[in-house]
Amino acid sequence: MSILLLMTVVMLGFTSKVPRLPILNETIRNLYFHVPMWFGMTTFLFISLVNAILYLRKPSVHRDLLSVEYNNMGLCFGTLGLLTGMVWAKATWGTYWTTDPKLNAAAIGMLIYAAYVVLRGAIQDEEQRARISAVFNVFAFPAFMALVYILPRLTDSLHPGNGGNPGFNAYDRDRQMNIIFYSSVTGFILLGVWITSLRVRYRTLKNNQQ
Amino acid sequence: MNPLVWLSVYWLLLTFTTFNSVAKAFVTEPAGRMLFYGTMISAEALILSKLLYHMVLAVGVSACAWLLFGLIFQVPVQDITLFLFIQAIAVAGFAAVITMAAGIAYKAGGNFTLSAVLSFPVLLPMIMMAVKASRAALDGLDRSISWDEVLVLLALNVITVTVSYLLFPYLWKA
Repeated sequence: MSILLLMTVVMLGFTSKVPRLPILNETIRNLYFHVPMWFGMTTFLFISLVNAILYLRKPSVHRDLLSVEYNNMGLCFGTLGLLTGMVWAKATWGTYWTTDPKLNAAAIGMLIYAAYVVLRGAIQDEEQRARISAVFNVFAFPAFMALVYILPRLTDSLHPGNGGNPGFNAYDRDRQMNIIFYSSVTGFILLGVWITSLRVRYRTLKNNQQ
Repeated sequence: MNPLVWLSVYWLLLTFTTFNSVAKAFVTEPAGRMLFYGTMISAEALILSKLLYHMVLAVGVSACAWLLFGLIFQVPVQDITLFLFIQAIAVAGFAAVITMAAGIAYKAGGNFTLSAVLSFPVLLPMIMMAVKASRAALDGLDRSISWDEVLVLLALNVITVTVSYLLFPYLWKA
């Protein structure tokens, strides 16, 4: 089902009409791809967190596996979000990156979850690894939320939607864009869930084989 | 010295100073004492005491840093009380994060680098908030402007301490 959604998104995303806004013009099409990446990332990291908490309550290998794989998916989507953002930035501002609080905060937020992966690599014992990384997941999440959502709202930023630039609020999108946008969000999230479930199944089979 | 340069160098200094003072939170205890802790004290008591001690230590060390740094480079800050207040809250927050990260690193093998890797990204929102708040103090602006950031810093401290308190027993059980 997600394949159908994604195909629709890609086709419509590139061909349908969009409202012309100052500064953004045609590049608002990026909204179809860039923002769903970030929505997806937040969703997956949140699911990873929920699994970590559930693991701490009742340890099971399956929960730990879910936690890790959703974390990986969150990292993938975050990286894609950064890349799509960079493509947009080149088109709009003429450069791939600027010293902007929101951009830097998002990149550093990625580092937190990369540190999660490093932590997992550093511990040998399986059960200890699962428990310690679950603890770190829960611990880092409030800091991550503060970094990515609270901090940019308090500062001026060049990124659309903050500091007076046209962007994400309800007045800048018309109904047709909304339909495409929400189907894009759903499509990408479903894609991520699908990939994650495949990876979890693969890992479980490999574990059972050993 | 350009005030903004002074500010950035100062916060960098504070971050590394706090890290160095707090990072060895768990490693320096001899092994026998750790066994003693495990049997006699509840995990919650242990983490609360470590957090409290390191937060106070960090505030003290940052006061020394303020004096020494002010001696060598002229202090361009205009609202000193607010600046020191922000500094105390921010440094206590750093200490809380680093203590928890040191606990995790200790359980994961006692590697100093690991605690650096774990704490650094989590410290960054605190540093950014602190720099932003202290900029207002630097320029001597009206205190009500920085009130939002100070509240966020306090909230981050409270959240970190609470989360560490809740999580530490799970960490300690091994």
